[in-house]
Parts: sequence; C-alpha cells; structure tokens
Amino acid sequence: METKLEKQVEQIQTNNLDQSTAEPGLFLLNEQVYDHGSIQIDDDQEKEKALAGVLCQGVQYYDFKNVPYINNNGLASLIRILKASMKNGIKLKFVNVNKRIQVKIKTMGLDKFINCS
Amino acid sequence: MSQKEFYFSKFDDRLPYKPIPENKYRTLLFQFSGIVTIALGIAYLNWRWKFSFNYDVLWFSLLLVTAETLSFISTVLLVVNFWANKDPEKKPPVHFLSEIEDLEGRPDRPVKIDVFIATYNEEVELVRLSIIDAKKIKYPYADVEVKVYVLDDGRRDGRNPAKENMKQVAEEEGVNYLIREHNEGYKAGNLKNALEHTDGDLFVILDADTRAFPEFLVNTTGYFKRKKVAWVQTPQWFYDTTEAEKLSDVIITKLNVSNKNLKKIIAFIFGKVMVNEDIYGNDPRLFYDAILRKRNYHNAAFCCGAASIHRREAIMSLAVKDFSDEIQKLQEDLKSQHKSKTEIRKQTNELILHQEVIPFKFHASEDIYTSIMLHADKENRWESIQHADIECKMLSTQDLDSWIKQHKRYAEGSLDIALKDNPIFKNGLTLGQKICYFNTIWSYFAPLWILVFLISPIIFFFTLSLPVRAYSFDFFKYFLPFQIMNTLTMTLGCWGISTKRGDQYYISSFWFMLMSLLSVIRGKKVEFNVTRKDLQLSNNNLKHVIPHIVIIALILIGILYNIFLISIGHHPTPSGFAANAFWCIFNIISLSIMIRAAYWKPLNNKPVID
Repeated sequence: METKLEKQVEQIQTNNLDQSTAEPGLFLLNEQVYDHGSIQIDDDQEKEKALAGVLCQGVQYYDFKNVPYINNNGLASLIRILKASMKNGIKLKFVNVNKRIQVKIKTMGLDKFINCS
Repeated sequence: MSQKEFYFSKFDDRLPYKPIPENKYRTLLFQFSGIVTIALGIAYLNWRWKFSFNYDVLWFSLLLVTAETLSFISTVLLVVNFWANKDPEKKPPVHFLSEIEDLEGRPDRPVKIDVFIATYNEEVELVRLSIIDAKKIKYPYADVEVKVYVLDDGRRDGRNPAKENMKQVAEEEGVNYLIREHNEGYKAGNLKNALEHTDGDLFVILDADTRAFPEFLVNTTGYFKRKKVAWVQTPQWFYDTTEAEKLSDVIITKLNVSNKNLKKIIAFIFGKVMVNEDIYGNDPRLFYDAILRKRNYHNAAFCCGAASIHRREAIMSLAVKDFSDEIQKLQEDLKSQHKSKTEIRKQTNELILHQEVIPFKFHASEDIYTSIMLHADKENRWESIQHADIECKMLSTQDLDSWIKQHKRYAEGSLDIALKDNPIFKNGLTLGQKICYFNTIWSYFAPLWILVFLISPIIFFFTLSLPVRAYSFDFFKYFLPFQIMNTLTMTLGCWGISTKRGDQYYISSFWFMLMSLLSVIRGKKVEFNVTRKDLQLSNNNLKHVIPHIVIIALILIGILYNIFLISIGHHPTPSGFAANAFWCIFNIISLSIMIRAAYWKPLNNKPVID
C-alpha cells in the first residue's frame, strides 16, 4: 500500500508543475511528519506554508526556515519523499536548513544523497 | 456478541507465575560456585586431553573429548550470562513527551502510544480476543492517546469471500485496521508498514494470540524515562500448556482397559503419579525469568517480538542509519572500482529507489537481529530491558510438528546471523553483550556435542572399547567434582525454576537442530513460517522422532548384547558397561520426551474411572 506521503508527492508532482516557474505551495510534508513532532515547525499558522515546496527546472525546493527540529522519524519521511520524487524524475533540495538539522543529517550519513544547505 | 469457545478457554483462569525475587547472597554463592565450576572444568579437560586417551581407539577418544570441550564452552557462557541479576528500577508511567525525549526547542505534549496486533492467517475470532484485551489496557492519563491497530498481513478485508473478514472484526471492535498488498519482509515488513502509517512515540507489539493485561502500559512505559531505553520486553507466558495427567488414566486410555476391577488396580498402583504436564516443553520461564532477565546486567536482553514495547525514535534511527550505510557502502565500492562520478550517481540513485527504510531487519529472526543492531549503535548506545513480571498471556504450539517448525526457525535464524553478521565481531557491542549473544548462537551448535554424547555409549556397546583409558579413580577424581559443581551452579543460576522439561528437550532437540545447522551451512534460505497455535493432531509428528527411536533401539540392543557377554564371562570391562548403561538411562529419559510428545493426544475430560 502506497503511504499517504507517497500519494501526496505523486499527485502534486505529476499534476501541477510548470517546469519553468517557481510556484509556492506545491506540496506539503504530510500531517504525520509535522503534527507529531518528527519535524517541528515553530509557528502553527506558518505550518501550511512552512514546508511547501517549489519546483524549479526539475528541482523541488523545500524551505526549512521555520523548521527548528527533526528526529529520526522525520528523517525517514525525508527519505521517503526523496524516493517518491526520484520516481518522478525530480530532484530535491532542502534550503535554509539550520545547523542542528544539518548536523543530524550528517550524523546519520544522509548528507551523501540529501541535498541541503 | 457471544464469544467463541476455544480449546484454551478452560485455561482462562490460570494465573501467571511470579518472578523469582532477587537475592544478593544467592548471587554471590552462584558467582563463587561458577568460578569453582570453571576451574574444575579446566582441570578435568586438562586431564582428559593430556592423560586419558585410549590410544587403541584414538578417534573415539578425540571425538568425545572434543564434544566435552565444546559443551564446557556452554557452561562458561552460561556462568557469564547468569553472573548477576539487575532488575531495572520501576518508574510511574510516562505522561509527557519531555519525560522520554529531549524536546530540543519543541513544545511539550502528552505521549502517544500505539498498540499493534500483527496477524496473518489466524482465526479472526481468536484475534478478536486479543483486540478486546488490548482495548482494556489502562492508562492513568486521559490525555494520552492509546490507539489499537490490527496489522493484517492476510489481506482479509472482505475482498476474498473465501477468507474470514478481519477488517469487519476490527470495525466491530472499533479499532484501526492496516493492510498492505504484499508480504515482503513478513512480520518485519508488516511492522514497517504500520510504522509508516502511525505516529505513536511508543508502540507495543502483540501477536494475534497475545492478550495484554490491563496494566501492561502502566507497568512498562516508565522505563522509557531513561532516555536510552529502546525497548522493554515482557515475558511471553503460555497459559495453555498441557495439564498433568494421571498415569493411571493414560494407561487405561491407551490400553483401552474396560474391566472395572483392572481399572481400580491400575488406579491404585499409578493413581498418584502425574505425567505429561507441559508435554511440549513450551513453558519459557527458564528463558525469560533467568536467561534473558539476567542479561539486564550486561544490557544484552534481546527483543522477542510479541509482548514488547518500543521507542519509535530508536527503531527509526536504526532504519535511517541502515539506509544511509547501504548507500555509503555502494559508493565506496564503486569508488574503489574507479567508476566515474556519473556512474556512481546513477547507481546511487538506483539504490535509493529500490532500498527501503526498514525499521526491523527483514530476517527470519528479525527480533534478535534488530536487537543486536540497536545494541551495537555506538552513537546512541541504546539500552534494553527485560521486565520481570508477566504482562500478557499467549498461546503455545499444540503439536510437535508446529513446535519443531517454530524452533527450527529460531535455530536457523540465529545461525544465519552467526554466519553473516556474527555478533562476536560486531563493532559497537560490549564484551558482555558479545558473550550473551554468542551464548544464544552457541546453544544452537549443541547438537554437535549432544549427538556424540548420545552415540558414545552405543559405540562402546558394540566395539567394547572405552573412549578413556579406564574408568579409574583418576577419572572420577576429576569428573565427579566438576559434574557436581556444574549441577550446583546451574541450580543456583536457575533457582526456583523447574528445568526438567528444558533439560529433556535440550537433548531431545538434537536432530532438528542438527538439520537446521546443516541447512544454514549449505546456504539454504531461512524460511519464515507462521506458527500455528490452534489445537491440531498432526500426522507429521512421527518423522521427527525416527532418529530418537533408532538411538533408543540401538541402546537397548547394545545393553542386551553386553549383558549376554557379561553372563558368559566374555566382557572385557564390566565397569565400563555399568558406567555407559547408567549414562544411557539419562539419554533414554531425555529422548523419550519427544517420542511421547509425538504420540500425545489429550485425554477426554470425562473421568476414566467411574
């Protein structure tokens, strides 16, 4: 069974994308990820926008500026997002990732294939 | 809705055992006794290797002394395993996330707990009992969510009318229902799927037949206040082990005695003798209350699946690390082969697409393998706890064929780990952990020496050659103190727990364990089979005891042959015969348990004597 997360990625990435322009809010990480502490978002009102991705020339960008925290469950979700995106031939990049999350990603050895800055 | 009557319904009132209380004086005595046993064992084996060989049959001498040496390694490993008892401190149940995790800037909230009931093909009404009990699990904080999930790997969601409808039962009971479209990874895959669809900070694993007691969470979640505790295993208590039967009833039933007077005579002679209690040796108390519990001292108690509770963050850290390790390994391999950057990127991407994020290792022994990996995690240094009290009840296998299939899987799974990822060489494990895991694996090599112990008397009976120079004073001077101390040490280590059935099955399991060992050495894939827990009288039992029958027959023929030789004055070593015949009594008693189990059928509940 495809997970809710994979379904979301699939639907949004295949339906809505204009390769040449960056559009905000293309898809959100699923509720499970941020509602339950895996990825913590500071401002509830910002939640919907916080992890919105934008697609630009085959690269999906996620802005982590409102994300102060991620745990292993959240990292597993990032991997699943990565896999779902790659299935559709789309690259991923996480931007404005804070130092703590970058260290976590590196400690877990994900920096070799998760592109973040 | 009225509940279905099962064979085990009559055992519902059985109460679980109480764990053996800790006693520091007993522990000290055990440690002293253990050291003396090891010293005496070394002295005995030193004498055996240097001075005891019968050079006329050197092969026989070497065979036996090698078996004794291998067996002695088990003794040493058990002494280390039993070295001390360190039950962890019990704490009140968890309320907020901050009690079990560092928040690192996150706002606090009540913890979330999921209860998973994994099922595949079990009768849905049996699973319903587990669901009902799971719903009765108490928690003292109303704002803590405890969600029950049925993880149905049998896809019994009503699409196939030939199958029972598990989904309907879940809906009737008002619990969540999760399925997947394949069975990849078997139970580990089923749990992986559940973790992808749920969000509990802690999750409980129950099998289809595991019926949790209401206090399960109250008594176990407090341990997670120690932020390195990855899982807590509670004892698996089989409440349906076979009841003791009067020997007189067994005789009357088996021989179909109908004469009333004869029945009374049999009852008078054998009426007080009870037999067949736990005929399949299913009671795992020795394992949970002694072996695994004492591993708390080494932080080496491993997870056994059902009746355990886990920290999601720990298991997910393993999953993520494993995923990245696979990628890193591939990249390093490709670099060492001087592949181009484009090629490395291409193959990395392919691996990312195909590699899964797997919380529990996809392996026939997923529980122990995952435990090894978590214990070996140098960054997190995860801890495990074997909880002493029973918090749920389960069903045991009800025929020998199922019992052997289940134990064969344990054996093959553990041996497979030994061959492919041996904990002895595992970076990150402490010495105590390595020894404890090795102890588990080493126990599956036991058929190598048990077989020698079983056939040695037979070799003697037919060759009349002793494997030692003589059963002399020297032999007994070294052998007896070691054996006596060994028995005393094991009695202290397993204090308060009956080891009778365990000892018998340790010997009696030699054949299927030997087959498991050969199967793994030959590289045969370890099969995952779901253990049947329903009452069935299988016709496949006899095949498992043919080697036992052959050995007992050879022993009896050998004894008769030797008695004949003694009676005509042609026996070279009557004392050797006496020693071997005595040894054989123990062998026959041990082997016969599996034969009895193969032929055992429950007596009717009707009284045999009016």
